Amino acid sequence: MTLTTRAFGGALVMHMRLYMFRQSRIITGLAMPVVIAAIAVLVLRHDAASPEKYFRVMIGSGMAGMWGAVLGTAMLTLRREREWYGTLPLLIATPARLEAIFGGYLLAEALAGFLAVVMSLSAGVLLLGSPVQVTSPATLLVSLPLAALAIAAVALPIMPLVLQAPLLTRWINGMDYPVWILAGFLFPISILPGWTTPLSYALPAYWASEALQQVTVPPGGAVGTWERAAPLWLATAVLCAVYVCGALLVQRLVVRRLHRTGILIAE
Amino acid sequence: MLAFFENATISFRALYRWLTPSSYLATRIITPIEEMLVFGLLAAYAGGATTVRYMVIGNCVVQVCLGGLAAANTVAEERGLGTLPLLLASPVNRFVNYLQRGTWHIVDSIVSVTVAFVMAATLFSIDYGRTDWLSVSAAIFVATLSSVCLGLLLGSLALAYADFFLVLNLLWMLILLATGVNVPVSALPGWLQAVSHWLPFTRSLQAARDAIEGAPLSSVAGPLLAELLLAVAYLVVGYVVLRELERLAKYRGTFELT
Repeated sequence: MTLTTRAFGGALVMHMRLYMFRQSRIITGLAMPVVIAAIAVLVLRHDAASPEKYFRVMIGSGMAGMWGAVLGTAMLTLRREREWYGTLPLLIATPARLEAIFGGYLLAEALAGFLAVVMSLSAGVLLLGSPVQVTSPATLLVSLPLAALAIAAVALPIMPLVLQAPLLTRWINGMDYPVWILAGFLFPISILPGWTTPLSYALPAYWASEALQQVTVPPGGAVGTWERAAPLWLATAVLCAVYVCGALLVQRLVVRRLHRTGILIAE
Repeated sequence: MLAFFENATISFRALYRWLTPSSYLATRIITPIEEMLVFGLLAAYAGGATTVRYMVIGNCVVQVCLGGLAAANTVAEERGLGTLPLLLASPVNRFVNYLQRGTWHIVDSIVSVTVAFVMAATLFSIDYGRTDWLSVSAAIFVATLSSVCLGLLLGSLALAYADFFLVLNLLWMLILLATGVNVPVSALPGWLQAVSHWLPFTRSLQAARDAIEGAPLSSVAGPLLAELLLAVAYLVVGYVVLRELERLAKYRGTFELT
């Protein structure tokens, strides 16, 4: 096992152990997805919507909760290491790659975010009285972890940026909703103005969200569920790779600058 | 009176020293607009223009609540900064000092809701042609007062419960769900409708909606009066809790009551 893999795995496990059962999890994992799903389902019910719409908002609320949690980690973990625990200099000095440690933190948070998906689906089912028909559970089983990866990938480049500009942490809430909108968590991007479409296409979370929508499409059409989902999975995976490479590049530039200036703690 | 506002200003500036123009823009202008966009677009996805209008107006007016509940931060911040013992040792009138803490949040809330109304017209073409602005102003002022009073009550509880941000966030979620911001109260499950009557904002929001559709002040005065009474109840309970916890802190010799 290489040093990078060990650092990645160690960071993942440590983050899980530290934060899985924190009180903030009640907000990001329970309350927020449940409330957003409840609002969305009640609004749709008021307007007698179709089952596909229900599924989109139920699963989308969970993904929104997952993104909120991962964004919080991307924004605040560095602050935690730098200002609260004072462990950032140790992390920078360690021979393991910093991006492997940050990647471990983010993936751990995304995996913990599955709770949000479970809660939002449960809230929707509770309110609707009957579950939305999932026609392809296998597609769901592949799409969900991929969605977690996609969300972690979107957040990964944010971490080095926060390292460079700590003031960004004040924009944490402002960076939450744009991804909800552009990734089509609660509504399809077709209702957005055309100029936003390229922005959506550039987000792996969008493709992951679209792949998740395929699991309710009734079977029997000319194209099977796997055939429809596979290109979306591929797009998600390719974009995740692009984001990880971009994050590595930014991370290296930022860390090199930190080494050069010697300023690590001061804002 | 001048001293009241001077002290209120000093208190606000000291406790919200992080609130730079950039932070204010991020937390009080940009984020609320984004939130309005999300719910407005959800309404557009769900159905007709009526739903869009309903949700967008609800998300405009709820901005007063966001600002008002921020008053809860005042006591918690004093505790966090270590200035609470000094404050409690000072010979100031405790009730006046308590009221001062909510003053700037009233102004802040009104600025936010004004921006939200402008953005609603710009982004979602919300028409205010029939609006009775006097009634809307009264409804928003009452909504602000009740939110600030609930914020102060929560702030008092922060003395005994250090992780009160959790309570604050949960309350915010409850307000979004149960007060008629996004879904009419009548469309909620029965038990949630009962909860909504004890929350600030349910009546004032409905009054604001009616006023936007042209209702005169006389027809919205009843619900607004009821909400004012609720606000006074929050204020009184909050002050009593604060004094009681202060007494307990002095008795135990610690502000760490949890």
